[in-house]
Formats: sequence, C-alpha cells, structure tokens
Amino acid sequence: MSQLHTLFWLRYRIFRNSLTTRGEMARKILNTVLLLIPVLLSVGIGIGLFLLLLFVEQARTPIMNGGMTTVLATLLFLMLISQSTGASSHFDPSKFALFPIKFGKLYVLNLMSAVGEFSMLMVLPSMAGMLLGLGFAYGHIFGGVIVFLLALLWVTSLFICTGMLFAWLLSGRKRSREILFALLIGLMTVGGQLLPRFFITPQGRGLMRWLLPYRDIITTVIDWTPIGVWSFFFRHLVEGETATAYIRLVLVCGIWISLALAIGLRLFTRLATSPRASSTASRVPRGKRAAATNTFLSFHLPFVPGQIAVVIAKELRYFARNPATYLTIISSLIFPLLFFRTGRSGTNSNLWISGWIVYVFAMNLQYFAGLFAYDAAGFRLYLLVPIRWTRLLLGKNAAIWLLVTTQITLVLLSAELLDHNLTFEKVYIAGCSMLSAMAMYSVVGNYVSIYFPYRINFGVPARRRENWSGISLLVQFALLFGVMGLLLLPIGAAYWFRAPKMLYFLFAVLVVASWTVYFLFLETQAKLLAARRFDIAETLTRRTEKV
Amino acid sequence: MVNPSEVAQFTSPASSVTPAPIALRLRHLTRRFGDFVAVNNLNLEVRRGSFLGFLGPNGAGKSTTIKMVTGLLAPSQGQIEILDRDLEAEPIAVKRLIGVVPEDLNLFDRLTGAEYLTFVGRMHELERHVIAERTAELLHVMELEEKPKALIIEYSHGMRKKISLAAALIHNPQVLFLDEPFEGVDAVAARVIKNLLERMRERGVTIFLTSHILEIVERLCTDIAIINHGRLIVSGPLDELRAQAGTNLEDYFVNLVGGERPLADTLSWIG
Repeated sequence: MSQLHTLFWLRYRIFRNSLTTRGEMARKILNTVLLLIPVLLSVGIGIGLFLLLLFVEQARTPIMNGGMTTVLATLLFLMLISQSTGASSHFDPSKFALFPIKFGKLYVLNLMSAVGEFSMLMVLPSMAGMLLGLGFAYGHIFGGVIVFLLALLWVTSLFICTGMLFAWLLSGRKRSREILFALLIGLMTVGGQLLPRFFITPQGRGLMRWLLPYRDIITTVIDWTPIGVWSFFFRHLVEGETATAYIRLVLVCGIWISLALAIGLRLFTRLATSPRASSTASRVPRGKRAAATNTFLSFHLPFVPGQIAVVIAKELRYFARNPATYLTIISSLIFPLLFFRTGRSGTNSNLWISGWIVYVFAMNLQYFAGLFAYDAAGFRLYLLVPIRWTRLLLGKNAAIWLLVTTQITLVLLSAELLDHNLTFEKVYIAGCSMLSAMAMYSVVGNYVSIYFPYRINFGVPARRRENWSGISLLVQFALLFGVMGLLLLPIGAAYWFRAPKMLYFLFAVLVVASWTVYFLFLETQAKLLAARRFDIAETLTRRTEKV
Repeated sequence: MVNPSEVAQFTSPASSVTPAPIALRLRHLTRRFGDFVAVNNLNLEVRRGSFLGFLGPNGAGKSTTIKMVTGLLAPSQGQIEILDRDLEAEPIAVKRLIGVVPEDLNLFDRLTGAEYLTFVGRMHELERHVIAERTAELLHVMELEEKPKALIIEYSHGMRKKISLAAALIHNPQVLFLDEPFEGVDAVAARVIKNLLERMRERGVTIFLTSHILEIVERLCTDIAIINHGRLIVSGPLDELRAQAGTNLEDYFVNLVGGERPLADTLSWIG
C-alpha cells in the first residue's frame, strides 16, 4: 500500500471508528447538516455572482475595478480569523515524525485536503463566481479558468501557511504567547470592524483626502498583491494586452504562492519536532522552601461555604488563564460601545440597552452552555471529593455571573465616559436585564452542559470543540432568542400601555421570576448531574483521534 | 510451579488469620460493557492496615475494579463497602475516608501544584491553616517546590504522578487506592513514592495498589489478589501464597494467568 493511499485510509478508518454508536452517528449527521446550511448559502452567493457578471453588463466594471479586491480581501480576512480556532484538519506532522515519510508529501496532502475545510468553503464559491464570471462574461474562458486555478492555489497555500503559523505560535503551551495571540486575533477582529467606520468619520475623510495624490502608487502596489493582480489581469485582458496580463498574473501569483508554500513548509517541518510542553516557570533553589501555599484559591467569601468559594476561585483562575476569555471580553466591550451607545433616548434607548446586554450574554454563551468544557480530566476529581452537586453547579454558575457582571459594568462605565448621560433608568434596565438573563442562561446552560457535555482543549494547537453535539447549538440559539424576547416584553408593554412606571415593575417581576425558576430547578439539575456524572466524565476524557 | 486448579484451595482470603476489621468489602461486584463482562462477580475483603497488591494481566479488569471502588465508574451489579460504609448509600462520607491516585490522572492542568493541592484540601473542607501547612509539606516531600509558578500542564509525567499522590494524601485518608502509581515514573520519583507508602503502611493506612511491577509488589505488599478475565482467581497474604507455591511472585503470577508462550517459529524475519 502506498504511503499516500495509507494516509487517506487512516483518515477514513479514524472517522469510521469514531462512529461507535447510533447516537454518535446521529450527532455526526446532524453536525454535517448544520454545517451544510452555510456552505449551501455560500455556494448560492457564488452562483449568484457568476450569473450577475454574466448577464448584467453594468456590474462588471465596478467589480473588476476594486469591488472584487475588497470582497475577496474581506473574505480572506474572515477565513484567517476563523483559523485562530484551530478547527482545521491538517495532518499533524509531529504524529509522523517517526515514520519514513517526507514532510513535503504530508504538506502536499494538507494542501489538497484544505480545499474541503469549512472556512475555505465559505470563500471559494464567491471567488469562483467572480473570477470565472468575469472570464466568461468577457469571452476569456481560458483566462478565467487559469486565474481561478492560480487563485485557488494561492488561497490554499495561504490557508495552510497561516494555519501552521497559528499552530506553531501555540505549540509551546506558553501562556503569555497564547494570551498575546488571543489579543492579536481580538484586535484584528475588532480592527476589521472599526476600519470601515473610521473612514466615515471626519478624521477618516481627512486621511482619504491626504492619500488622494498617492492613488496611483497605491493602485500599483495593490496590483502587485495576489488579490489585486486578478483585477489587473482582467483589466488588461479586456484592453487587449493579453501578454502583459498573463505575464504579470503568473509572475505575481508565482512569487506569492512560492513564498506562502516555503514559509508553510518550513513551519510544518519545525512543528514536527517542536516541544509539546515547556516549562518556563522560575525555579526556586533546592532546599529553599517556596512560599507557594498562599494561593489565590485560599480566598474566602463571607456567608459562602468554602467549597463553593473554592470552585468560584478555581473557575476565575481558569478564566484568567484562558486566551478565549480575553477574546470574549474584547468582543463584548467593543461592539456594544460602537453600536449600542447609551446616548439614545426614550424607548429606543431602553431597547438598545437590553440589546447589548443580550449581546454580552451571547458572547459568553459558551461558558454557560459548556460548564465543564475546560475541566477535561479534572472533572473526575469532582467524583472523588466530598462535594454536593448543588454546590458545584452554584460555584460554577457564580463564577460566570462574576465574569459577565464585570463585562457589563465595564461597558456601562465606558459608555458613561463617552456619553456622560447614564441615568438611573438606564442602569436599572441594564441591571434587571442582566440579572434576568443570568438566571435564564444558567437554567438552560446547566441543562445543556449536563445533557450535551463537550470538551474544549485550550492552550494546545487543536483548540477545537471535541465530542460536541449540534443539538446543543440549536438549544443555544433558542435560548438566545428566547431571552431576547423576554427582555423585550417589559419594554413593549410599557410602550404599548404608555405607562413608563410599568417598565420598572415588569422588569422587577422578571428578575424575581427568573431567579425563582433558577432556584427551583437547581436541585433537580444537581440530581441530574449526579445521575449523568459518569457519562459526562467519559465524554470529557474520551480521546478523539486527530492525525 | 503452581497449577491454577490447585490455587483454588487457598482463595479464601485470610481464612487462617484472626478476623480483623475490614477496610474494603466487595460483594458480587460486576461491570458489563455491552456484552463484554469486564469484572465478573468479584468478592473480596481487604483487612484494615494491610497493603494489598491487586494484580492481573492487561485487560483483566483491575482498573475497572478500582474505578468502581472509588466511585469513578458505576457498577452494573454488586456492593462496595469501605470502612463499613456503603459507597452507593453514603458517597460523601466514603469520599472523606479515601484517597485515590487514578491511572488517568484527574488533574486540573491549568492550576499550579500548590493551587491544585489547596483546591483539593478545600474540597475536603479542611481548615485554611491545615491546608497551607500540608500543602507546603507535601510539595517539599514530593520535591515539587522548585517551580512554584509552573502549571501542572508543564509538569513531567513523574511530577504529575507525585502531585496526584500529594492530592490523595492531603486530607489524611484511611484507605488509599493507587492505580499504577509507578508507571512512567523515574527511579528517583519511584523511591520517593515507595518510601512514602511504606511509612503510610506503618501508620496503619490501608493501601490498595495495582501495579505491573512485581518487584515493587513483592517489596511493599502484605497481601495480594490476582484477577484474570474479570474473575478473582486468588487472594491472601503474600508470604503464605509464596510459601505454598514455593516460587517467586513473578513465576507464580505468570503460571496463574496463562503461562509463557513459546517464541520458536515466530518473528522469523528478524535478524
């Protein structure tokens, strides 16, 4: 059996062997169906773009002169952001370090398999639609196909190169590097959103005016980029400068593709032998006893049982050491400040406040619905220590409440700093919305965590969710919209009956009702957790093979 | 050489010994995974203060048994009593009495060693100053105090075993369960663990150990129980069994669980 054949066989066997039960099979099918929806949407957009260019003549020029570059740059940016989750299925070179196989061969396989990756499938149809559409529309079918093939190779090599870069960055399991990485990704995400808004501000317009004389230089530079050269190619092809078009296309694409491939291969080879664990923590000289016992986990809370307090402390420690938390905080702070400012007045203002509270909760949904996701094997410790399950649930929920409260307080304070008009009504609505959402998210999140537990590996190259169920995603969507609907009820009722005081009363009722429901369900959930503890431990520790 | 059929004559545990308080009692313990029976109607009694080596070949059911006994896996059938308390009926009380070092270590990787011990100590509701003192002492004894800021994920395998053992000891358990504590541990760490276990046995702690390293079992254990294909095939005081078998533990064990396989006519391509 050839090595190439063996590798594909390995992928198939691992997939086949993972379908051990009917439930597992149903879960995989459901997940595939759920993924198919956005993929089909993406294919639809690609076909739409192709038909648009083929039949609507007016659409061709704007797309060729900059539109295509902007759209593809945005799509590629989103693709790179999605790669930071490590959710790709590259062959992991370190698993093959002992076999007599060339890394180059594995690397080529990775390039080939990248075409089927989810984030690639979100980009490729639009790219194909535009490039083939322009080629067909202008009667240069061969040119369209060539430019598409080169674009495909470039995007694939870029995908693998950045995937390797992210994996390499995280391979040392160094916390500082992981947090730096998370902050970078967070800033890139936020930056991508802020940039277009910046250009409509007076400062942004000023910058545009300043750049105007340099437009030709900027265009020339863009024409030497892999995305820009595709526009350049079609522009010159239409003008009859076929040779110039092809020479520039092959030259520019060749340079960029070679560069991405070379960097990717270098990183790929390094990854094969990079250390999986390293210890950079400072040493204390032998014989000198460290004062390591006064830890953060010793902290006590008044009136709170020690076991609950230590679960909260442990969870807070995990939040602080988890790069995903920093991403969540950045996202939940920036977007409400940009879009849901408190400067608005009346019913509108109340709607916006409830809106961004729901948004912050949506950002933190993974913590509510994955109470045990980061515990992994540590969950089994809860089976060995004398803690009641009610306390465990309370402790874990309380830690998330603290995290969310911190974020919402920061948003409120920042909004006050920017707008200086934080009124009692706004704080009251924000507080009530937060308290109600907290209780409702906890009730549903606990059930989801108990019935559909999954593991998230953090701090390792593959930080994807493992043993994850698509049903859990559906429940989370329902929760998101359900809570939004409930928070809108008091606002709607007050507006409908033109009774502003009703708003205060109904929000208070909502808070009391949601917390009553939380405490009514807590004991039942604890019993359920006790009954399902072995299944949860099994799911959290089950190894999912990745090659 | 001892024939397995002869062994059945002395399977009754500690029959000739004056009845001692029982630390662990298993009655008809069974665990099925679908059609496969991993542990089959296991009956066993472990005397208080004894050091039991629980032996068996790979896949015999050792880890499944220890997981059931410590509450990490639900039995399909049977009863488990630890220090006269039923595990099913009084899980919290039993957990206060036992310490466990499982084969797949249950560690929170993103805590430091000191944080992890503090966490476990507080879970056992120990006083704050007691946790601080014991944590410091355990880190010192286990030689884990050199890197106070290192997270457990950065620990070597031996260090992880040691921190797991330290966590199992912090609440002063009366019965200690150790599943392969010497697997993947270097000689220095193994010496530390062995010395510690000997000291614990001297102080009256009941220890239940599974290990593939028979020299260690021979050196440390007072009693052994051997399991194969999920069934207990022999149990009793080690000296007594050895004397009756007239051989060392390794030969005795290999004969009991299936004997040696001839190597002739195999691996013909080597060399």
